[in-house]
Amino acid sequence: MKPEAADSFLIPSWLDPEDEVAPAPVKKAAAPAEKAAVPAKKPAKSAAAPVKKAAKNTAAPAAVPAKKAAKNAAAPAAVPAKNTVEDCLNVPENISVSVKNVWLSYIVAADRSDSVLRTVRRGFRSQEGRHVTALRGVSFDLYRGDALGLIGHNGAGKSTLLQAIAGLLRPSRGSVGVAHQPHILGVAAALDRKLSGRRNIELGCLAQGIAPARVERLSEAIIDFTGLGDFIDLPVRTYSSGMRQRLGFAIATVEIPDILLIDEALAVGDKEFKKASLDRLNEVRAGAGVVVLATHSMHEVRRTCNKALWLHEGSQVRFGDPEEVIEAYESRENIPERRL
Amino acid sequence: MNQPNPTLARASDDPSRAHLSEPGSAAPLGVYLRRLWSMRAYAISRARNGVKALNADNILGDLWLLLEPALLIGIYFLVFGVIADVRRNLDNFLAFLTVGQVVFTHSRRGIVQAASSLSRGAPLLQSFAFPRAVLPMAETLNALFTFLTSLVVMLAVVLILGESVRVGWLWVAPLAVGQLLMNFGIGLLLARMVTRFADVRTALDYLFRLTLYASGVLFPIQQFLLDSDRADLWLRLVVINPFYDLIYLYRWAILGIEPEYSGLMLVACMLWIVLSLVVGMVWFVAGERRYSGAKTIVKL
Repeated sequence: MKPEAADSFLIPSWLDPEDEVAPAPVKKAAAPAEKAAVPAKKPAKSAAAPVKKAAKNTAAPAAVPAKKAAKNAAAPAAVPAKNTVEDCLNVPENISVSVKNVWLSYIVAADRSDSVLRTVRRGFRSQEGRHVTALRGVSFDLYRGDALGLIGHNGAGKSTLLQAIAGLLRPSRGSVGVAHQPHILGVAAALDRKLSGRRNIELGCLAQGIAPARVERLSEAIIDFTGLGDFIDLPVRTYSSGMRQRLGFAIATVEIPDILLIDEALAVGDKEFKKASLDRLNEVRAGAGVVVLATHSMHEVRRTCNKALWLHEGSQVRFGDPEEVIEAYESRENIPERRL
Repeated sequence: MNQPNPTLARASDDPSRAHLSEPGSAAPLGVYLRRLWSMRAYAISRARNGVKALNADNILGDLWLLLEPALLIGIYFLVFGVIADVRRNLDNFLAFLTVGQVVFTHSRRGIVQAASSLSRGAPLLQSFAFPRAVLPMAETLNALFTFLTSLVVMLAVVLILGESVRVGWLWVAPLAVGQLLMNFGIGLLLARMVTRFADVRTALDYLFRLTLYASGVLFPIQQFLLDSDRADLWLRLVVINPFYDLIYLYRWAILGIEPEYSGLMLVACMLWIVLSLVVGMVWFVAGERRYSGAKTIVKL
């Protein structure tokens, strides 16, 4: 594949990188302004309707003062433009995650091994593989206190986007900026199955750079949180998948991170654990942190997120109010044809 | 194509976004080393748990850490001491062999494990943003811990074979530290290569097989070389091999065998340690953003 290939991709008009960069500011009112305002009420319903137009009006480049953008957006909703909560919050200084026209490509090795003759013929270069462009020009900003729901089919690029935000994958084009190093929470993949839950907690804490002196103190709290009881001293391979995910979630959120990226549904575990994990998410947001959640559960997005992003085959279809994005996603309207 | 595209605005170009920085573990060397050092507790804990997990499924458990070197030495007794009865003009050939084998195994384990640490640690790379050099570091420490238990067995065997406790044994500590550092340096170098060419990992087994014979583990090379015409030249050449030097320095410390050119060996060893550590670290850190786990990233 020639390096110029990316430039030959036509960027469809609906994917103009500047479009929809600015988030819909109306939502901000529902987000907690202060740490004290913890209980993140379901932010969706009340303010949903007026946002529709607003998102389009705010298609201003990020350089335009956010105040102005907020004014434009707020006008149709008849919300006073000055001295509102979002007025103070939606300034560039409060941006926590900035994703700018991110493209990400890689080559996955084809599932076959070459014969010796073929290997010689291709001059011992790397095996040819399938070329995958996992992200195609994704752009958005997240402000302190935001919770973003990533939705889309399997293979839409949700996990890849999370890894790009965390800095684990480097964009081929575009840039990612973060105010703090994000914590990524995978499907409990990093657990060592041979070791006990207790040892995994210890290792997981240390891997996040927590001082050894604090780890012991924290691990008791984590064990409580997981509710694993006596299982905590058994090897993780004896755990059910739900138990593993609970353990993974507990480890990754032991210290309330500033930016938390979650690559799995929280719809695991019993009611109690669901509630406990939801509380943790809200704690992150209340501490002026940012949560990005990749999920297939629309219910979860409605319940936890104040923004949503629909990815389709790596392209950003829609970004904005969750109700609106989910509605579009579920009605499967404007699924764009991919043009190469 | 490796340079950042100048036409693309960086997040930091906008002064109001100056607080944003690129995510990930890449950093200038100084910052990187400080971060790496702050992760030492994790590396040690990971190494220790790795050693524990090694024999977790065996009924004898950790006892295997002692049994393994003991059994290995027992086999050498049988093959070289009883069946072949090779003494090679050495007073205590079996002690000589034991030290060589245990020391060589330390380096082989440490380097091979470190070399494959990134590919085997893919889930960790996809979940945590720690400096990637932590994984090779943990693997070399893991090899050190197994070496320390083997060391106990080795010293016990050496005593049984009629050697006596020497003051020279104290030299084992600095030698072990030096060996650890060299393993780490070479491991870093290979770890980056393995992420790009997995074939290197397979080739390593054969390279170490070759090194085993070239390092005088099983028989004293010097004896052969001294018989040749240009013994001086050969002996100096063989000293370039750091594993040969290390093994002989250990033998000198434990058994009191004074090799030819021992001063040269010490210098060569030190040079190797510094060189491998510096080159390995710089080369590894330069590729920090490529160690993403499973996927090969190709820039477009």
